[in-house]
Amino acid sequence: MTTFGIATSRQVRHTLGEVFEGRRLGLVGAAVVLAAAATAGLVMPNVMGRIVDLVGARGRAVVTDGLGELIMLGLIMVAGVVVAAVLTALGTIWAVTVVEGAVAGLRERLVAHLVRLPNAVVEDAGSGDSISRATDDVAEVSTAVNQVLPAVSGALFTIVLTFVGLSVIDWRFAVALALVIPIQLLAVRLYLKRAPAQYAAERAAMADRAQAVLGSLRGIDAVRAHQLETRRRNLIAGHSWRVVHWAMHQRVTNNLFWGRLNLAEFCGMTLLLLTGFWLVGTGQATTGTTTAAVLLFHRLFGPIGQLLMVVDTWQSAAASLRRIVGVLSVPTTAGDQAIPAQVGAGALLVEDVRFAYGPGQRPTLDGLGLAIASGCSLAVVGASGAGKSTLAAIIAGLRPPDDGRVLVDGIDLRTLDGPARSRIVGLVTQESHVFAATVRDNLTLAAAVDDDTLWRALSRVGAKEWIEALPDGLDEMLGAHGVTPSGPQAQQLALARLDLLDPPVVILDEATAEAGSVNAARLDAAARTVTSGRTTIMIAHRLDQARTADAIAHVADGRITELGSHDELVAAGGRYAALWSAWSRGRRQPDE
Amino acid sequence: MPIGELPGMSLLPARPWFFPKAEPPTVNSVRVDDTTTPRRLTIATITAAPKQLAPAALLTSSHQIGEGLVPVVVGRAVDEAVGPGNPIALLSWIGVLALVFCWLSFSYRFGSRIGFLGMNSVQHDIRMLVTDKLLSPAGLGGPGMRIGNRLSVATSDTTMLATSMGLGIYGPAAVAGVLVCAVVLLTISWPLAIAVIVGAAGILFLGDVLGGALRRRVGTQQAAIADAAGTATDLVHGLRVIKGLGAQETAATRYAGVSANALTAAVRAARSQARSLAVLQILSGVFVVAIGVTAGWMALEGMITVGGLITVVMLTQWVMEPIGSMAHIVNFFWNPGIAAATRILDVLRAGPAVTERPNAVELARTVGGRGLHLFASGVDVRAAPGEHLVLGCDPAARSHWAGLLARTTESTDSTVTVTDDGASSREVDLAEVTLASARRAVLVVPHEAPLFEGSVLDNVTLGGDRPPEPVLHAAACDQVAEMLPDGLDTDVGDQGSHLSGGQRQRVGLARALYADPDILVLLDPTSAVDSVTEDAVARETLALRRGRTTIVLTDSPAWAQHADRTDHVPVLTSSTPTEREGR
Repeated sequence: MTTFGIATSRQVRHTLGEVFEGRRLGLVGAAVVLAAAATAGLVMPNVMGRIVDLVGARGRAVVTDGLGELIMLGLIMVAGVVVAAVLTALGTIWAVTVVEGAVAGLRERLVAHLVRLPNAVVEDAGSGDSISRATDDVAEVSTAVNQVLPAVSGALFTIVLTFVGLSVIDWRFAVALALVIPIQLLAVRLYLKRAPAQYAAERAAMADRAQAVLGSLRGIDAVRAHQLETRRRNLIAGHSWRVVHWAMHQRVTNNLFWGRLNLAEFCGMTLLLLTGFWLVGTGQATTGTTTAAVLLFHRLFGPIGQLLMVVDTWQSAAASLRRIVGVLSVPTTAGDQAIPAQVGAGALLVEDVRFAYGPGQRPTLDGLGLAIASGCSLAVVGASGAGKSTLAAIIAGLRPPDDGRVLVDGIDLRTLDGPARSRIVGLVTQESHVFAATVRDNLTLAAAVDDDTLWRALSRVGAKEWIEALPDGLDEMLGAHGVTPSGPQAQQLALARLDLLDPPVVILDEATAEAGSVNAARLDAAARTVTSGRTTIMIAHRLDQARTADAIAHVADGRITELGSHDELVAAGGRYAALWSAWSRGRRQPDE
Repeated sequence: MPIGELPGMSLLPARPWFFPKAEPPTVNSVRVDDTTTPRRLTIATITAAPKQLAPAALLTSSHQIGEGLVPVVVGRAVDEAVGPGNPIALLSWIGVLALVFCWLSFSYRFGSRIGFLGMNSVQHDIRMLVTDKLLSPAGLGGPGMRIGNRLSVATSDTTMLATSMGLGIYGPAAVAGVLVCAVVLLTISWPLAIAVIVGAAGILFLGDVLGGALRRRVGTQQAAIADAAGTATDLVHGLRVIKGLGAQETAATRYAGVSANALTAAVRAARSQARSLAVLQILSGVFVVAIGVTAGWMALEGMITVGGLITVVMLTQWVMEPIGSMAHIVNFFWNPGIAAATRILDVLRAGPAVTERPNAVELARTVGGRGLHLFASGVDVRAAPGEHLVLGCDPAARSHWAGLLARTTESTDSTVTVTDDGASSREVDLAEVTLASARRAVLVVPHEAPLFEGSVLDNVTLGGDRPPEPVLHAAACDQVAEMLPDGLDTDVGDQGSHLSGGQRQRVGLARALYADPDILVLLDPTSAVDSVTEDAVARETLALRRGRTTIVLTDSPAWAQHADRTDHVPVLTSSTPTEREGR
């Protein structure tokens, strides 16, 4: 299994550049507003210092109107507070709008890219990997940018402007405070040395835990039958406790970080007091300015911690971004002939197809060739694992052959893009997905048609009755949040979709295999309706179904070993005849 | 992997204090009975680890007190050292400041760590309580629940409930912060102290009112985001179908629609969050200014000192934080805790799907076969000890009898009895037998034999040490192994996804044969296997089971051909209302 790759920083930057295309101005605008908000936020501590000075001046000179001036200063501070709050709100809203827009753009690109990628690429990576990138990683990025942006713009500006403010009061305060920056940088460095790997280990342990729980729940029948309850419990307990261990390691690292920040806070405060002592003593500053400096720094405790913790959030967002861009960097290599080729009658030719599931693996298909005249049907039979489903996937274009060609009416399917190809070859497999959407949306995926056409297709596959019986009919929600159709019903929907798609070539890969005896006949009838008049490949181990085909191909060791009509093959006495005799032993044939 | 050998041990600090033990605790400290309410469960959770909770709460409170003392010390330093220019006082106050910082820093470090350890231990504890229930041999009665929901109860809900312990750890700290502020202000000026506490409480109340509207917005946003994530998951699962239909663009467009909804909701939530934050910021800012101006006036009038003024302003600014966290604590710890407790209780209080009678008997182990008798109106099927019987039946009847044989469902109108042991012919109702011995005697192989993580061989032997070759051959797993890259050692993948349906079926069969139960019940065991292999599997399996009772519920003639006898169970006419979901 080859999962998707991890993108390089350059690829990430490139993608981010594209995603933020046209949003840069908004981002700059939001930053400017947030900077202005931070500036307004500095008014209050500065004015408080003035109040201290005013009080200090009381002893030395006659204050003419102390109260009046106090009220004046109070009003200035209120103005500062209001402006800061309003600008913060505006800047945040602006920034969130821009960033959320970019995140939405990113996730839409990702999903669009996933559905356009060759099916084999996504299947080989595992649907779990694709899904976690399209959901968890996107959520991670979204959460992170929403934390990082206000923290960086708000906290960073507050910190920068505090330094500016300190310099305005007296540049020596700013210098004193700058001396603690190395402590903070060291705290971040030491933190980053351990934390990311610990987070990764914790998440991996959580994934193991979820997998152990999920495996036990999905396999609950086997757990009960084999009395594996205690064993599964202990497995889950082990994984759960391992998560606790990593969480505690993480907490220790976190504690050390905050401890070092406390040290920086103490050093900063002490340096300010010492500087103030010297400046006031030498008459270069007042108690009020020292107060303002101390107040400014005390206000910074929160933002500094916030800013430094962002490094952490950013780490995890960057990891997720790399995973997302890793998917986007896989090229969609399908053919590029987007204009649908002339849809012909559907004469199918498979030429010397070779395929292996990996380099060095035994070939699953080893020079297989076959030809079907338009409108005829071929059943493919053989032992399980002989490569029948692989053949179906290759003809349907879901996997590219390592060698050889698939031609329909003389057109090489590899030269076509996905939508053009699917208008020529349609596939229904045993496991048919029902989308969590309305009945109508499930069907119109194939073709945008009106309700009358939908009902016609549904009645052709025998699904009209039960759909009509649903309270909302075509508007009924199916899947996770609605009605879960039974297996045979899901197959009917799949057949209806195929009928609406109307391709000249159809492939049924065990499409009606697990229906149970009563439903099998009904589904077989639906399949016959849908395949009539179309070139059909039918993969079946139910041989009563196979024998209805115009011809039967027996596949073994990646090749067609026998080909002919049912009667011919039975008469030839080969491996199909053996399959048939094993199958029909004890079964009453309707026409015998 | 034992916990002592975690990968990446080099990442760890040398000897962290207050660390979890190597092995998980075995005792459940949280108990649940019929009278437990979500509220009670949450309270029980918060107090479940008193040994950690008490020191943690003390230490975090002590941290807040330290934080509250910083403005006092700084104010005094400015007042007594910087203003008058007294170097001795300066050094003394810096020394005091150092002590206060040591105090607050170490209090936080160990308070948070001990509390977190308690929280995690309780979390593990509740998770195992839920796991035990979910995996209980008796099953879960009541309405069926999706597997995804059960997973989230066992993982995220238990985390959320345990997080409510934060109320016990950080709640006292917030109260301590407000109290220390009040006490310090009292020493400076009692009217200011009252104004600060009353004003702060008022802002807290307003914040909660504003927060109500915000919570709804955030709820809508989360639902929209979950919707987008759900759609993405759905599309990836249905990728084959989308490709097959050439509906790539339609699918992408549909996702873009859902994503746009999530965007609108997110922006709306951000807007209302920014608005209520701005209102709170203005209120608390104006409040701090008012206190500052009043304190300034009092200093001007000589009622308080300059240092007192500095302390008042710094404290007023600072106290907003513990006050804010008091509001936050309820929203962050209590409300989600109650919500999670409700969902957890739904699982924990669900009755069993099957009940074990108080006087349930233990079936003796036998060496020979065991007889079986299925009885209901219109059904009277017997299998003699050691007999191989094929039963034809439709899917509904199949799952009805399979559930009763596996003791995962109950029925009032159908009975399954087994003979006590091979020698006597005394019949025992399977429902009167302990679950453990019933399942030891009768093994029902699920139709979609689920596999577990590990290799093919691990899945067959389940840790047993008898030679597996005979059962591998009987179930044609030797053929399966030939096609796999690493033979029997091939990893079966998540839920056996590396194997085809027919291969999984055969591995499941081999696993059951390896278990060698007195009565083996197979449900359409070769539905995904070609007819020649099916014939071989039927022949070899029944040969291996010679002398051991084996019932195959299938319409396939291959099994009928090699069995001793065939019979038929009629279609179930009425659904039995007492039957409960046995999952």
